[in-house]
Amino acid sequence: MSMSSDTPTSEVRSLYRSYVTGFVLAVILTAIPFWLVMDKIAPPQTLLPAILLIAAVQMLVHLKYFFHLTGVDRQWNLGALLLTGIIITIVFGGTFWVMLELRTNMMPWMDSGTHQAASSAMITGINMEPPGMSSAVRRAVSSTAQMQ
Amino acid sequence: MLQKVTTVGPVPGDEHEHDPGATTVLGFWFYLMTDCILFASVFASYVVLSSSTAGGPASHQLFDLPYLAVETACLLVSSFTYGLASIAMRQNRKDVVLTWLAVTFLLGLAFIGMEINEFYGMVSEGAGPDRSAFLSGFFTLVGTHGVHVTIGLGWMALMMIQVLQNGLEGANHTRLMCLGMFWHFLDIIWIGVFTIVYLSGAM
Repeated sequence: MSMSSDTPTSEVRSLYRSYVTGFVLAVILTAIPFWLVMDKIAPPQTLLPAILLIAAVQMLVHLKYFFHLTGVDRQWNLGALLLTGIIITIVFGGTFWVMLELRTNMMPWMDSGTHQAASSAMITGINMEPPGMSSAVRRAVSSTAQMQ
Repeated sequence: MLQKVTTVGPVPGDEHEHDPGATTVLGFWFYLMTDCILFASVFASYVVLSSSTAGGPASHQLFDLPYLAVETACLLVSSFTYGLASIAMRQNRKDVVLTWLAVTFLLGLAFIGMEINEFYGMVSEGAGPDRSAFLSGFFTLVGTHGVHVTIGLGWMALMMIQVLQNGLEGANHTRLMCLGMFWHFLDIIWIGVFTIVYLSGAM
């Protein structure tokens, strides 16, 4: 983070090496998921975790080789990054947890697509909810059917 | 305690003798972290809505992966060329910095041009943001990233003028470091976009 113009050549050389290494790794880590998906190398259930993992690795590569979080503020940088990681985990994980629970408990017909499942869900809903809920559930069903 | 407060000038042996530039860079890093949280929220809403196509076109009918590969390459190479500009800045080579900034700018412009072209094609085919929840989520997420890139391009154009007039020292040094972090950050977000939106959607 020095402001002086006469930066030693060794520092420049290590910076240069860092950017080139990062770039080569990034190109490889970008090409692999494109190739996996475009050539349909495996079924989606296998491909999805694979490309998500490669993306996470590529993000770490960019962070290490392009950002250079060094100097006296390194701890602050990493601390903020860690806190952000925790918040993102809560936002992401919380969203999927809530929305998947909602889908399995409230709208099972959206996965099966049959009216059989829809009506059985309604019966379950009526059994569990107070009587006033049944018409609300029915309205929700009909509006969802229109959306579909 | 009181004695310490009234001390004037740097304390001998103090590890935290910050120059104002380093504090600005740290503050900019904190901004980027909040921007990360913004993107995480938009990503989460996109994933939840991505199957709600309301009878409209689904992701695998819309996405053109070879086109996306060229777009991705533009942004990735631009991140690298900004790195080369950063190195030239360390060496105080003004002309080299300006050259790499111009290359980075053109690559960023190519990326955003391709994205606008893609959006235009989708809207004219009737697959605009008003078609379904999935497309609303898509345009919000990819559009938010595109707006960031556009702002980055404006900032880069201003920095080229600044460097031309005032050189690489002082405030311009700090500004170029912040812009570099911003630009590399947008490339990291794009990894998430092409993986979660395009590649997952095309499977």
